[in-house]
Amino acid sequence: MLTESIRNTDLDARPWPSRDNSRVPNWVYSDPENYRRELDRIFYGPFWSFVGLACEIPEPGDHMRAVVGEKSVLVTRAADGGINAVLNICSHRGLEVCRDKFGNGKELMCPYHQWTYDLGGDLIGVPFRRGVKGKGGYPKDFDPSRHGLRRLRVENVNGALFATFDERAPSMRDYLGEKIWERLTRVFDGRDLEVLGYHRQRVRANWKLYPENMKDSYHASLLHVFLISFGLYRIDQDGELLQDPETKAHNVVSSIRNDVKDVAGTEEMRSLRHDFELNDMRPLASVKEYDDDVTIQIVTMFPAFTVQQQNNLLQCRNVIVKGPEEFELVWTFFGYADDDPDLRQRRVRMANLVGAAGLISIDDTEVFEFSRAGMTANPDRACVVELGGRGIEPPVAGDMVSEGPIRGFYDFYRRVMYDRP
Amino acid sequence: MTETMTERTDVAVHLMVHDLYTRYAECICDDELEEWPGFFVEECLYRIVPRINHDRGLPVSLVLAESRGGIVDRMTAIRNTMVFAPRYMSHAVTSIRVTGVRDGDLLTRSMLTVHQTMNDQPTELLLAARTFDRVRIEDGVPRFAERVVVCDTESLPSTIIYPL
Repeated sequence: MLTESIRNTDLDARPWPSRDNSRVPNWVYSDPENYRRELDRIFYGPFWSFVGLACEIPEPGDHMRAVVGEKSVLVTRAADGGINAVLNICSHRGLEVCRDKFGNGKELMCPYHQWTYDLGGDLIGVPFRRGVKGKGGYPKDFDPSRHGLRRLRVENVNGALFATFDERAPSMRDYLGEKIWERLTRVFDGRDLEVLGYHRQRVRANWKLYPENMKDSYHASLLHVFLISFGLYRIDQDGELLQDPETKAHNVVSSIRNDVKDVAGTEEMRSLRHDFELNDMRPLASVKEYDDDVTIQIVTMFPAFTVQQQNNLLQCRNVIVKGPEEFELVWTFFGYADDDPDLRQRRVRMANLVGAAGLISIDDTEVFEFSRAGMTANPDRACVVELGGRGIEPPVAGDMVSEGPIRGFYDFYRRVMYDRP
Repeated sequence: MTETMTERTDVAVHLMVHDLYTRYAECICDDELEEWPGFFVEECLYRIVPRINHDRGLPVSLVLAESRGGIVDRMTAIRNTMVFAPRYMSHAVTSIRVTGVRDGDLLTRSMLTVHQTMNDQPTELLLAARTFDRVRIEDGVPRFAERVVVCDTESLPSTIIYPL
């Protein structure tokens, strides 16, 4: 069977179904060996993962759990206000030091044998270091400075926190490139942030489907009947598909809403219906809050972090990998600390549209599970990714139906994953 | 005498509330969603909220409807616009209790466990929750003026499509 022969072939010897990125083999969405390499080369490699918002740990001593790859990390606020991230595993016996999602304290103490670390991860206390009544204890040359919690590099982008295990990672600004940085800092613009709530859900599908979906503006006008029926998004809207020219792996989908009655070019959308009207319009009632007219802006960072503005609705969508065929999607809804009650209420109402019960987002996570079902059983087949061409050049201005950003993702992904280091 | 009357009233009220919760669960599990908005008064509040948001006082819900019209909208979306795999729902509602009275409404609560059965999968536990509700009796008919479902299941095993 072809299926078996793929699984038995070494990863580096497996042929990609096309020289270009117009084909993506189904096995990249299910293969365990490929997934283990993704952990090593991507999630623990020189790339940045989102670990939370600084406003979640406002006070000195505050700390919270986050995840990089499959590893639990603790993000802490030191006495001087600085933010650190450390691996949440005791150097002694390998326990997760901290189990609470949020906590506060001057130090981090492992409950098992009370090895105690400061908020930067330095080991500051070891019981019975000199033994009991002068007997036993640790060897004379035991050096606590060699047994701190493993530190990660952290960067704070106007309140959004990113971490990496790999010192080789470029600064976030260089990592994203100027164009994407500009859009990320349009939302994280330096104002203090405020968390409005969380959603978390498991999706039984490969993690890459999420960033691919966020890069794919094509599906929104077809799959999301709700969005279309109520005139929230249509493919004929003015918009932009931006790519980081360096990596092609970070990108932005942005859109400016047209008049709802302007339906030119929508004849091919079979799901376009005009027969629905909401009884309660409050979840859609937005006000202009940025200097520009952008109503939807989706920033997708390699490997798998998205921050989206949809009118007044702001959310981080973070993908936590859970094996080759499952991920957790963590939604952090936020606003700005200086929002007036009216604007905050609008954000809260619009949250109905997205998340684990979202009128729109449900469609996405449901179809990923359909993808998993199809792809896992057919690893020898490949996806066709040809809309807008076969290359990785950015879509031409005004083209809002291009799979170019997905091809760009795979161009970068293949270099990271399969090129000889 | 008075005491007996009160006891009788309490029992009658309890049965009425219990019956409301039972019929509500049946409506959803029988997939008769068109009847679902009728369980609410016109000016109502319906929320499904993750426990972490509830405990930390964060305002975002999983589902929010601030009127019966909002509930009709959710039903319309489930029936017409949302894309999802077919499934059956099974609600186990226990520990229904009237905890007090406020402005003529009964304050009630219950424990809720929801199982979900996809058509080609074994039955799975979707969530465990507590509900904190407010029941208004008008013309002898009890309806929810408020229903707040607080989900312990912070990381949901899948999406919440159907009402809780």
